Amino acid sequence: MAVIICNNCNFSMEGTLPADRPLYCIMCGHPLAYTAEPDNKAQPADVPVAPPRIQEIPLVSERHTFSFSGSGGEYFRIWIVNLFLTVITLGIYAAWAKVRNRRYIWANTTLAGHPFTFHGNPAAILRGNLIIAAMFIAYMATEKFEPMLAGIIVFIFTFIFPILVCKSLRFNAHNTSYRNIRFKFLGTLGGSFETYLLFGGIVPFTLFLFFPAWQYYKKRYFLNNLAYGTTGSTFTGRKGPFYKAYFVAFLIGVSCLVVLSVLPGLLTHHISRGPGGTPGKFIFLYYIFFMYVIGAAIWYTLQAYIYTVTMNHCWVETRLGRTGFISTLRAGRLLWIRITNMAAIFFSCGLLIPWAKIRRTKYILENLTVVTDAGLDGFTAADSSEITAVGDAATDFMGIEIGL
Amino acid sequence: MTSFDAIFFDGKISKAHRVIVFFDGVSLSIRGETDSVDIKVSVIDCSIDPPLGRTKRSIRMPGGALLQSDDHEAVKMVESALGTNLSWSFVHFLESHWKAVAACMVGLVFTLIAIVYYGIPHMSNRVARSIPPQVTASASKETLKVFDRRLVGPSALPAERQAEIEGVFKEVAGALDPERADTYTIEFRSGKHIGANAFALPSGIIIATDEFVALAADNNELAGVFAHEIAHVKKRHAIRQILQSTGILFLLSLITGDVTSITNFAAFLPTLLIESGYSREFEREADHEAGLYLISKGLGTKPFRDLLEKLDASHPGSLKLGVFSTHPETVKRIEYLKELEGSQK
Repeated sequence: MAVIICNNCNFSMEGTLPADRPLYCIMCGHPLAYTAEPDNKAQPADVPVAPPRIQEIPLVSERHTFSFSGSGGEYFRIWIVNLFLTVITLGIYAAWAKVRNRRYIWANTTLAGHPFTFHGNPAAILRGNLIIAAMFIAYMATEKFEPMLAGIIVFIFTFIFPILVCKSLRFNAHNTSYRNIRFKFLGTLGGSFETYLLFGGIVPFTLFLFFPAWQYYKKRYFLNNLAYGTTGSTFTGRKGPFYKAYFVAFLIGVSCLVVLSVLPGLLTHHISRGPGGTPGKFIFLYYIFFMYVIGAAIWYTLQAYIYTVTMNHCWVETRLGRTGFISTLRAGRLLWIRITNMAAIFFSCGLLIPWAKIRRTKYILENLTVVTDAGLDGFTAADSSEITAVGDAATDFMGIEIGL
Repeated sequence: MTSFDAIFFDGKISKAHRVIVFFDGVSLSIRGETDSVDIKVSVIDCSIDPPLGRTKRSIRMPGGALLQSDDHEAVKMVESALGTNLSWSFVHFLESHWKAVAACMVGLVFTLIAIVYYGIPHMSNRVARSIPPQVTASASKETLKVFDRRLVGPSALPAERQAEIEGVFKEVAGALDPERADTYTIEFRSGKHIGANAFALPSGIIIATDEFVALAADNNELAGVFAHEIAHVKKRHAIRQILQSTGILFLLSLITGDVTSITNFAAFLPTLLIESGYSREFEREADHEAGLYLISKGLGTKPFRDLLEKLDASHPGSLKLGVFSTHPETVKRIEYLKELEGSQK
């Protein structure tokens, strides 16, 4: 046995470095680059970083991969009953439906054999829904006839948006527990204003060059401020991987656009020469079809790529005390799931929405692994207090994905 | 005495304890399999999370401790002893039986149809009546400015002809909406990019292009189209269209859970279908009013039908989008007007 030291965070442990595969630090997820064994000469500090793989089991630490046991059929039944009750109560039940829906997803997410639990209070969510619905109706009512008033509403919403995000993150974290210990979100309102209003606001003025950095700051705001019981999280992610991901995506996107601007013209020209000789309608429909389908395919590809690269980076750089994370998502697989999900939803007229959601959630969760050398038994609970759900409704309504 | 396996968490630390729970009807005795957990609590002090699918049942104990168990039967017994979660048990029953789910689906479809066909149009009509017409004035002026800048040019009609047509227009307005007849005005323009066309802005401004005037064989034909456009304004179709779109968007966000997600990407098609359906319904309503007006004048619907046909012929190659179209097909509109004339005799 020798002492292995991580040259990223200086964590040391006993063990032997295998010669045939890389080994990852259980604290920060970095590859262990050299051993401190006296008679073993140090390896070069920058061993090429291969993407981490689940099969490699470190010597001392425990590894637990998330598992997701939700079933499409069961979720479908819950979904239909939720929809039915929501529609016949004119939307009131939506709050209860949301809680039931989340409880199902959380309860089927297990780590080391134990499920997560969602505790959200439907009455709190109902209050949030009513406020957001009122703003939505006010905006829609004024948009066409009183653009000034609608502008003011948007302006107000822009300024309260960071508050809503912060409250939403707090609500969700506070209402999530694992092994009867609740999570917490400790992010401040100031931090939220800085991240969502200041950094988000300057993006257009930097010709969108700041956009990847903004995405980074959003992830940092979430992952640096989480706590599980009394154990706070630390986030050591960097902007570099974000810039790299967006730059590659930009290059692919632009080259696809160049090809696309030539291709549909050729295709529609060819196809529309059918019998009858009235090409107008066909050109129009085919043009729409090709732009729609191909455009969506490219967009999804870039999204899947960016999501995979940045999430894998963010998780590896996140720690909860002596617990680290490894995310092993692959862009190709994620894209395949997304595209087949879309096709399934389209051809089933929406009936496969629950199945698609379960499938995607399962893939993402089952590629997330927790690495710990202290075990999962030692986390202690913190004091709890009641938290409102207003922000939650807003961020949900706007379809904003925060965190996972 | 029932007993079941469970996992016990004390709520202070994340350690899991395997336990056996004994239930005697009034209290739960919790004994650790390997460690020193030995607790007895009264059932009345506990609460049980509602059942949900096959997921673990949670019993919450006083002091923040938690029991989780896969033994659904046993927890159900504790639940019925407590007498809680009755309505949730019903929801759970619905969720766990395919037949009940199928019934919910049928109910859902019928409710959605009722909302889309009756609920939303009816509500929009009610709300639109309570909105003062002045609300649309500034927006309509803005729209007219945009039209002047982009789509139409100054009219070349001689002033006498304009005055004559205005007379026809005022007569129609007076007949259709006597209370607010003065609020209707007609504007003449040349149809630079839009050709022969007549349309209404929600505040009561009706725009007629020179090409449109030229198409009409006589003033009766013009009167028919004016009646159609005035009916749009009188029946508040613009506001109702906006309200109904809002309603549809709202319904959609209820169903999908949010407004911007990918599921809405797929919902784009049905939304378009429903909204163009609403639009066609408004056209039908305006045609109906115009037809009745002409019939009441003893002219029959022929003048309006003739002009519709000519308008259709003056826009060759326009797309026949069928169910996606905002206007019913001209052939169908003419058929409808003929039927209307027949039924009024």
